[in-house]
Amino acid sequence: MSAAPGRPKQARAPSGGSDVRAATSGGAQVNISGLAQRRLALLGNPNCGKTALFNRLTGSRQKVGNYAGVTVELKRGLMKTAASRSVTVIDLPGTYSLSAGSQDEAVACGVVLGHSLSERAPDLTAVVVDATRLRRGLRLVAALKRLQVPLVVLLNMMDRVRAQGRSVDPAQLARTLGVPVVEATGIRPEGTEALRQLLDDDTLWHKTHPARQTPLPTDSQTRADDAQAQAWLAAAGLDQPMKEHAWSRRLDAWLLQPLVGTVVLLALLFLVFQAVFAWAEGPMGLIENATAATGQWIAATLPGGLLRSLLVDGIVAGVGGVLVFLPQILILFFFILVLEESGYLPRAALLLDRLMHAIGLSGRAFIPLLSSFACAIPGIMAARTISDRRTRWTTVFIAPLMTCSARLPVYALLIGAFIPARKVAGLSLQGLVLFGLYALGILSAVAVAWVAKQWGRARGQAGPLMMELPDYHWPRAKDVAIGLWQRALIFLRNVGGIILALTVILWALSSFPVAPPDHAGSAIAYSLAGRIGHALAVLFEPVGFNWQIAVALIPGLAAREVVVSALGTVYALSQTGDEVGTALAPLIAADWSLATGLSLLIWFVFAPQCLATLAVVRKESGGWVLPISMAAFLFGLAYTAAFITYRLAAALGWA
Amino acid sequence: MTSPSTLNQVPLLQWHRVATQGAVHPRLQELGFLPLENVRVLQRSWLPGGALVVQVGDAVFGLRPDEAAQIPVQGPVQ
Amino acid sequence: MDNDTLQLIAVLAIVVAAAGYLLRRAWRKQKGEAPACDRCEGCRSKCG
Repeated sequence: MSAAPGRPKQARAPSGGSDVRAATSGGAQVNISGLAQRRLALLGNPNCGKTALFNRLTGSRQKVGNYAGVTVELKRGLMKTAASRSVTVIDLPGTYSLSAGSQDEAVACGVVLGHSLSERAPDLTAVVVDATRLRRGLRLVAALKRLQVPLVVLLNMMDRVRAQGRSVDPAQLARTLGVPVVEATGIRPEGTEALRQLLDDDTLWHKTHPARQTPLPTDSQTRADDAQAQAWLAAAGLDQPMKEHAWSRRLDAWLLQPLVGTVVLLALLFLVFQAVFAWAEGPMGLIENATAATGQWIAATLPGGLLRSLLVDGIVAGVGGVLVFLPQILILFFFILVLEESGYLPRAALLLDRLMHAIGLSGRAFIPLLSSFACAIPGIMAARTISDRRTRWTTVFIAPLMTCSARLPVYALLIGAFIPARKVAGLSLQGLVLFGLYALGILSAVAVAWVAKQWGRARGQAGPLMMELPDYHWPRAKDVAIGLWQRALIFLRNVGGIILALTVILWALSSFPVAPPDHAGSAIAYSLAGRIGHALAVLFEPVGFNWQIAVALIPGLAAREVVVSALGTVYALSQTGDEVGTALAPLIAADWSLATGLSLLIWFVFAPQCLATLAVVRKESGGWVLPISMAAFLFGLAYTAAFITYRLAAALGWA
Repeated sequence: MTSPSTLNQVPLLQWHRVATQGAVHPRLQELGFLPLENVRVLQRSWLPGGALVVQVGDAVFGLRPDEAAQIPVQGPVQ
Repeated sequence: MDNDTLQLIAVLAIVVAAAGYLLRRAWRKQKGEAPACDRCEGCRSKCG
């Protein structure tokens, strides 16, 4: 007799309950435990795809509860075999062995061996084994077989094995192990067919249960299990030492060699920054022309007035000013993606480990920090994988100093305006300066980390390295293209969303109150934004910022690129006469001194990060202390650095 | 009787097995340094204290010398 | 209505829309419905 279960909602079952009730959508209660007599347990290592398999087998017919006395999840469900008989399936927590190292493991072992208070011993245990990690799975199988637990083995991740060009024969393995072995996977519907057919074999269901209250394995028993797993692997021909990937070894011989490897790393970085300027010229010119043409067309079409000003001086000048940097951002991301996809990054982490160790970080922290080159936020979130608490928060603290891509438009604008497009020793001076700015960010991050190390308890624990080195492979063009496309979409969505909105608001603040006709000076000075700017300019006078910069910095807190569009709007509104669509860079170059430009550049290396980053830090750390201290620290650092730069430049006569 | 050495002491490219007592650090076990697994050192750093490149089973890892020293190994395999 | 007034109305409508957009975003973030980072809407998997 099989139950016809309704569609139970996933509700919390009473703990210790052996009468599991499933609520159907009609409200009637169906007891699904007593009716389906055969009970199958899914056991396996963590991360072997067990849960996907459980979901595929049971569909929505699952319930989640608790094991008595502990916070470990108890998941039960109902599946149908090939002959449509019902079998109760229990998804046990992942476990590496029967030594009950953690609560999860203790619970899983308890159920399988029959001494759990919450769950009767299953009639059959299916051990889910990751076919790419056979030895680990087979240790568990050996232990269970020794204890005479009725078993079948499910081989998961077989698609990965086949992708590696290897093969594992379930039938042969079954002969070797003396236990039924089938392939199973949760990611495809037909992946559970073999299991469903296997479960119709009645001979599997009449095995004896293991003795109750089996004690935890002794050392010698564990070694016997290991030896058994080894014997099985050898018998199945799966114990061969694997050949190395020839190309990866050849490349690593040089790329991991301390001198050559470091030179290659630096050269790569150099190349990236050169490319960001050299490759972008053409596309940028196109965008600039399109922007100017749009502005002029609107100016010609609409009669003069507020709307025209909003559209031309606000939107076109502002948004266009940021849009023009899309090619450079894409070039930067192109290189980041290629480096990621090629498998090179862990090598860089290895090379830098000694250096990072010296400042109290592990080489592992390199990859989250590299993400900060794109955006500090994934870097901050990736830092969750760092187990050492102090390393983690140091990494979070210094992540914003590694330039985020939103700074790139600001850098590009200022470098374009103030650094001549000359070549020095065959390299573009602009590219060199950009490299220098990133280097400055990294050096300051290193300095901060080093200081943090001195202040912290002298435990010297920088976290382990243990970095996996995947084989090198050519980045798949399709994946890189998709990644770039996604980045472009994100950028355009930001531009169309928050940058546009902030530009409109800024325009409004810069145009109202409207100056009376007899007002001397530009109209914008009379407006609300103008007044705020002049007030703030007092604060920023020592670092050489004029009031326009002061105004632009405020919306810049929301998104760094907005500084560029804000400057675009402010300067567009400050123009008298009919020049429309003039690019921003020449305007700035004419209005500011070199010292001011440099000071603003340096300010941006250290500037407090955008509000979004602060919000994420608050969420990750669970409090306000860290984000506020970060913001204050960075503000102070930025101000000091800009001050020094400005005064130095002024002393050199560049003011 | 040669005492079992640790992974950072084995000669280059010579296959060994992880000793039966296994590695202590749980993360090393998770990465695959299980008892009797095939393991070898692929590359050493020219600098003292630099990371080693190690192959265990079919995966390749970078380990610090002190991390490799936590992995006991037994006799060359052939 | 003359040109100036028309333009004023159009401008006010746009400005109010922009302000509304920003406020709604901020409110949604407070409630936790929108991701905190403006950048990562496309890379949800990375942001966690």
